[in-house]
Amino acid sequence: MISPLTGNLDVDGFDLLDTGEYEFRDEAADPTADGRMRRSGDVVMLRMQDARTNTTVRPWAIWADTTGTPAASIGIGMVFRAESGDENPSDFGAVDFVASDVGAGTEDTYMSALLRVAGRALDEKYRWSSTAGDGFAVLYTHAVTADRTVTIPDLTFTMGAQPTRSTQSIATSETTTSTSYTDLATSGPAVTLSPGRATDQIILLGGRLSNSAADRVFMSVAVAGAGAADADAVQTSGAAGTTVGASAHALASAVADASTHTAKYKVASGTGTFVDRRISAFTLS
Amino acid sequence: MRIRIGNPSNEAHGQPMRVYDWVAPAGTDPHAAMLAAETALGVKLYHRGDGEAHGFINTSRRPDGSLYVSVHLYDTPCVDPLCMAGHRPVALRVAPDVTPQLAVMKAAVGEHPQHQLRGIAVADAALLRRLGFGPADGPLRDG
Repeated sequence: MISPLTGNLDVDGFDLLDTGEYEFRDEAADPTADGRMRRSGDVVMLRMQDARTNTTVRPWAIWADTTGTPAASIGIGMVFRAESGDENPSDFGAVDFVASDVGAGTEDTYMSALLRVAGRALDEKYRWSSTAGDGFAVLYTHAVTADRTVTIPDLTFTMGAQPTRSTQSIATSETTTSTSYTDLATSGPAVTLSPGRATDQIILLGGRLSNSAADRVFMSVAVAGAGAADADAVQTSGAAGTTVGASAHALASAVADASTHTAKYKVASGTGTFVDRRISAFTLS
Repeated sequence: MRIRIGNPSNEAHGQPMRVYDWVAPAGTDPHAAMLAAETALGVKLYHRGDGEAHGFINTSRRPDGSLYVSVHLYDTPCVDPLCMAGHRPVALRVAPDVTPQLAVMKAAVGEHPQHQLRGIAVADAALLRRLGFGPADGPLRDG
């Protein structure tokens, strides 16, 4: 044992220490003022100095390699301990960095924040990871007036997605006698939404419709190129020759990006006339 | 009058049809044109409640008041009561050969003196574009 050490200790290429634990007790502050590791009771400092001005340096590395074969979920972390009412030490939190992929040249890692809730052991409560090469930045700002709670539903979804919409119309008066769904002479109107992902969408149809007979006319929609259906259709029925303004809507789930919805038409009998046809689509998710 | 084989109107069955189209004079009534064409051809071009049809007619009022007329005759029948094309309970019947009646049909409905489709692809397409149709519209689609 060397205590106190009053000279320089040069171990050259040998390990200086091989110990299980360092403990810094709450004793009088060490008067050492040169910034090197010292004992002060409430501050332990490891200092290094260089000449950088606008770069970041990482002066301290914690390295825990393995004699085993690395695999996904291998990680390294740090635990933070203090004292609670009945625990000393008490684990207050931990930060882990864990690999989800340890493949050569494909390594992916994430950061976990582990917290305690209701006295239970430390557990992962937040995880940060990225799928982008350049990552992303998040800046939280708020007036410091009160804590705010954000509740996220137990769903996988895309946050911050902007709704997209499109509307097209055709004013021309056109007719058909087809009893199966068909285009009119002027195809459409049609709308295409390109939100960049599959979305739920609502499609609105409308127009001024009439029939030479006292029977129904239909304006439906071929959702994403599929067949038009009566369930989605504007259906009007009135006295022969009476023009009726009408609208309907269709809901479509998981519509592929850049899908086109096209209005389709038919009649139950007689000649159907369609004027001021309009179709609109909106993303819902 | 122009004659095409195909499905330029994207009819739900997706089957080729005989399609005859021309431009009728300004003021032509769509339903009256359909009735005149039907009488001239001797086929059923609309459902009148008897449960069958041989084809259908589309019309479009153009900006100058003329009426584009397109007669579609079925070459593929469909009597499937569960057909998803939406025509049930109407049976779609194969139309007979109407070639001898085509001139009668055009005369009965009427033809615009300056807007004549002649079956010449380039000239017909140019006329249809002047009348306001676009490349995705039935008159300019190959079917």
